[in-house]
Amino acid sequence: MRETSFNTGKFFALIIVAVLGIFMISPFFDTGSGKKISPRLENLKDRVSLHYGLKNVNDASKNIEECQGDYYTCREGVKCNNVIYKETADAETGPANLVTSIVLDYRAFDTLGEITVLFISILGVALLMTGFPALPVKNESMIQSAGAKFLVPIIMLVGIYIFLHGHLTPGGGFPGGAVIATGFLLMFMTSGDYNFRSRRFKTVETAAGTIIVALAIAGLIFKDSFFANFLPNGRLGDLFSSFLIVIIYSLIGIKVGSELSVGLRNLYTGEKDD
Amino acid sequence: MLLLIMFIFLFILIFLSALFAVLAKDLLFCVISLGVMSLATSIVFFILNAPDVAITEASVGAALTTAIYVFGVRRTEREEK
Amino acid sequence: MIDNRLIYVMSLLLFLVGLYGVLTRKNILKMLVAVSIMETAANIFLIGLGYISNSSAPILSESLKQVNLLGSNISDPLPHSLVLTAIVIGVGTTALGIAIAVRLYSHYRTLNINKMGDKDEL
Repeated sequence: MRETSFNTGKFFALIIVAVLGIFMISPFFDTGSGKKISPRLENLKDRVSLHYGLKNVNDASKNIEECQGDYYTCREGVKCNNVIYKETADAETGPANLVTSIVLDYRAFDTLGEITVLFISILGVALLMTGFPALPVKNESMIQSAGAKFLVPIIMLVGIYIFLHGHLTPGGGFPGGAVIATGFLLMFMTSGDYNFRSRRFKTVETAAGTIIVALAIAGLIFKDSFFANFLPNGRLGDLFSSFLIVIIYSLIGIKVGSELSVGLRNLYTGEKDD
Repeated sequence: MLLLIMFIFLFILIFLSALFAVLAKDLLFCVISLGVMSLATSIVFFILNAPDVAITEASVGAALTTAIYVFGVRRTEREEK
Repeated sequence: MIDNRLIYVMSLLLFLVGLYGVLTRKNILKMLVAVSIMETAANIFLIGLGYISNSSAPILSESLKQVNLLGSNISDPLPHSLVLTAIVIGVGTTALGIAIAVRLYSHYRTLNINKMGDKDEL
């Protein structure tokens, strides 16, 4: 019974998909009790993200500890400090980009776990691709190599800009690292002249990861929590502000870029068995 | 209103490319169609006020994932038997 | 002006397309493509949970000096950060899946999961 009839499989798959679709569409017609969420979201009043936006998370958590109740009843008395662009100095977190302030300050432990997952998956790729021959490049054209020579520096520059400006404009370490990895992909796909050694990339990646963990432990020493912000924040919106976040995001950019380019190279040429 | 029309157009594009990626026989067509879907998804993220996610999806989903799949297809076989 | 329910229905349809692909396709690479589609659908759903119409992106700038006290002029930044990390993890797991598929192909000389199994039977 290895070769099952194809139509039977399709029929059962359609039934499963239809049942799951009915389950997923049913919240529209639900008439149960409980806290209703309006179909069109108007504001962030009932959400934790409001305090991330107003940058008063410490005050809010202190208030909830004091009145010992649940979040919705206690959040009325929270002090609101108005954070204004280019005016407020030494706010709770430095970045003007609120997503960056969540990724690297309020939920930085999450990001550390994510870096670990990425590292382990690329390690798995390197282990599985051991001993495969390289894919041959057929008839590399002149346009390809000349275009790569022209494009690779610009791509690298854009990647570095993206992770250095992550605290002010959209971007950050992860897309910056991905753009840098695209540049290296273009390099080793064109010819052997631009080749690099993956051993050096592994060294860079390990060093970056170690420095990130060391900075996190330094936060534990100078302030009282892991990943605490112990460097000055500066004025909100300036280029030289929120120094610790700029440093950690640059390290993440370097780490992700070298990691992804080593993974792509392993898929392309195969890992050397040494 | 313009935003809504654009959103519905992108939705149709995403849905059709996903359907084609699932149903096509040739694996290279699947991969390219997945790249088109990622690119359209990044524009949707930009419309939904998430420029950070849009940049990440455009650089990762449309460039790196397509390259990884193409390497995989080149190392194996292209036609589905 | 986009209704949040429209985004929900869109991600639902995309997820069901991916689920159908995972259930019916026999080729491993096709199954990985379908899993990628499901992942994209989940990302769109998470972003849609935090969308507020007629607001701007959660980045303070010259045009957005200050977040108001109800938070009605920015979209929710928390799902954005979650999806940002999920996309990058997605590319790592996809690379791992491709590497496993290449290993299996070099062993069995086929990508069809029905024909994998004992090597003597082929």
